[in-house]
Amino acid sequence: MATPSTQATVKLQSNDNVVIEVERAIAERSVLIKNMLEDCGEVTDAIPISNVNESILRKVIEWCEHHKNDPVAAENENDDSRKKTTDIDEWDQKFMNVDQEMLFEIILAANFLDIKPLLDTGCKTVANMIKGKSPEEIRKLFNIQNDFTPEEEEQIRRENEWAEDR
Amino acid sequence: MDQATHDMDLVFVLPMELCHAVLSYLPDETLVLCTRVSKPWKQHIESYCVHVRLRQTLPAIIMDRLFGADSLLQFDRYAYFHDRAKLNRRPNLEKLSVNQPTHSGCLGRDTDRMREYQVYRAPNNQQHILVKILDDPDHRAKLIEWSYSEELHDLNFGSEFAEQTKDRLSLENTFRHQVAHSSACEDCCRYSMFTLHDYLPDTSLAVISRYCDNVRLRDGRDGFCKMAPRRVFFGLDLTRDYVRWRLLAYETGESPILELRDPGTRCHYIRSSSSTGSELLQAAAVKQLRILRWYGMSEVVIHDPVSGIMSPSLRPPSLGIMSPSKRPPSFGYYLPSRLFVEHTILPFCAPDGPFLLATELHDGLHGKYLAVHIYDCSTPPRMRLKQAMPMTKEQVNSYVHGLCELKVVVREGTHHHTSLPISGFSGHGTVSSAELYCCLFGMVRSTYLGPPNPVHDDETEAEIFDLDDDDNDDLWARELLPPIVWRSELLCFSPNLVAPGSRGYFSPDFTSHARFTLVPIAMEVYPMEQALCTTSLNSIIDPVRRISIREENFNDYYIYNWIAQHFEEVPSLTAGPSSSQNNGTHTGEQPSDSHQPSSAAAWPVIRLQEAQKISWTEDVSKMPEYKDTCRRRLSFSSSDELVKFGNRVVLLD
Repeated sequence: MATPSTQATVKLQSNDNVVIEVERAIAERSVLIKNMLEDCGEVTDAIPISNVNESILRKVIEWCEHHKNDPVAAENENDDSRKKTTDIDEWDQKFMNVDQEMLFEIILAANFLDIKPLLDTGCKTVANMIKGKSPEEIRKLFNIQNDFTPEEEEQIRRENEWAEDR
Repeated sequence: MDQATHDMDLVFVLPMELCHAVLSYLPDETLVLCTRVSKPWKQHIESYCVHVRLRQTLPAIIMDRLFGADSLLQFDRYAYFHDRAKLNRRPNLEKLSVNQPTHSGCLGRDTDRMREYQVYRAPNNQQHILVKILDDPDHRAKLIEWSYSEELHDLNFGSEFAEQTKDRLSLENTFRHQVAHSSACEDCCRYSMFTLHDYLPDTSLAVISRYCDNVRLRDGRDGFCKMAPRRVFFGLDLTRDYVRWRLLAYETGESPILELRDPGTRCHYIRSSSSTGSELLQAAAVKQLRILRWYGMSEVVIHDPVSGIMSPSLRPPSLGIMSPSKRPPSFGYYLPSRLFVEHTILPFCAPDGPFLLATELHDGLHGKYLAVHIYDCSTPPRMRLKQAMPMTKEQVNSYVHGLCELKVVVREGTHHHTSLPISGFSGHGTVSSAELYCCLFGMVRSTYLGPPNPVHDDETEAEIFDLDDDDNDDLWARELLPPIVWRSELLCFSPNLVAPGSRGYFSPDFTSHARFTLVPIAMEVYPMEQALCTTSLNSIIDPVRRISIREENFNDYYIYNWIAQHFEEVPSLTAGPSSSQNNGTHTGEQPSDSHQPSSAAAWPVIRLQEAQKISWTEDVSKMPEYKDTCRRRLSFSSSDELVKFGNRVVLLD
């Protein structure tokens, strides 16, 4: 392993070749970047973030800046999804108040960059969008075409009737 | 479908693991609902439910057994998940205005001393939950009373609360905070504390436990109040399908002595006529109780298929006299001071033949004992199925008394739920322990409970079961029944068995020695079906909700007759407080008192002296050694019907 670097900032290059300079501590919210920096030591060149475009990268950096002092969650924490809460703090809710395309891009970027808290927040946001909605409303929300035949849909509806009877 | 359609569709936009991450934040019922969105959603969600959610839900060992490669049945795992989600759904209770006149009727007769109340309603049905605080002029304590009511049923619970100031005890406080109550009475509630686990309206009604922080008055392990008054109420949990409440053991303050569930749509009217816990329990322990399963060695689930009440405890029999069920007692019922459970459902092709299992609770000088008798047809040479599953009384007796007799005595009230006895029978040789796990499936056949068995492949059913024998007293099943799943985990002990681990699951002596001892550590039966009934065998216990999904008329006479022929003593069905307190509920035909017990054909009863010879110590560490070497591994030949039914199997938590 390389000697730990003391550099204060790192450059991140989006897939549309925009270079963004950020504090190293902020960039290291990404486990991917953190590991890369630890492995490579001093990095003067821009780190290519090949799967993320500029707007999403800036959005992710914005999130990382806001959460740069958050404690790092222990691994495997709350693995049991049944106990997961979908509570999202107010700032994150506003942060995630974007169009669906960007929301999914943020989730993908968080996954690529290995920023688990951001990934969780994104997934919770999507889950919250789904919760409490009827199948038809979900279709409308995500622009999904109903590909069930009426008979199929009726059968599934009968089987799952209890789930909406609340 | 064009690509544009999928632009926003998360199952197309996100890779599967991220889809699963999103789904992981959705409750089970929402997942089920989402299968209606589209076919890709259905596929993804079912995949997630089966491969992720279910694995998080079930213990690995259960997963392996149910869904492993060597599982007897190829379960529809999603159906399993679906049923489980349905079972576990939560109510969405709506808080009603207390001024709504339509709900004032449920306030009862205590309105004059009612200080505060709230009413909740499940929006899509007629269930109401009333919580009210009552002033008790004769006592310094206040009473919080919970009522669950439907159109036809009520379920009431009360709890005495102490308060130092009037402001302290309020529903809001009760629901939202841990409320410490002191000085309620001179000795009971001084140090106790109610801990609120949950409250309305978010998920369920409040579930409250009562603890004591005084070392002298608390139970060392759990901290429950030792000195609590008998009528200790600790909460009511209404989910969509059942009401549950718990009462702590007064005598020991340890484990809950009663946990009742009610499927909601059917509730008995349960009322406490006094403040004593025993009477409350007695009132609650209505007729038609059946055992569903055992928890460890000291708890058992009692199930009332009519009310849906389930109670895990061996203690309810201490409530006193109860009447045998009007319902098919195929899986257990109460007799006076005696619990009887019979498993005549043996629908499997086992290399060693079927079992007949009977459980009996009876009084001894030092408490009550649960006796489990299992009658095994496995003695070589293998008995013919006809003999193994007799259809007539004579055959029953012959079978019962002529073959292996296996029994166990478990001391009631043991607190070691997971303890396993290994060192019993002092002076009777080496005692061995083993786990017996049976996952049994089969079709219930006419006049015979068992699966298609190669034993009688070459014979017609009439030949096998003597269908021409028109015996009116035949108490065995006559009708074609749905398949039955029987699952059991049992510990076996025998003075004839070698030490654990040395010769596998059962020693060769197993089949040649008639006696060994079983200790149930867990048992589940799906569904429970009557086996002693000559009528109305069309009903089936829904394995999901474990209640009868179809009810038929049933004549107690047959059951009573059967009991009379197999037990030394037979209860007076009209005697006992249980009878008197169930006025208006299931007051079917009562057999006449002329039915007297027949001791000659009595089932073997474990005497106290024999029971006392058994002492238990714990040793669970060696249990896994037996799993893979079970000589009694069952072979199974399934049919479409069985697989279809197997898909509905749900394990209890």
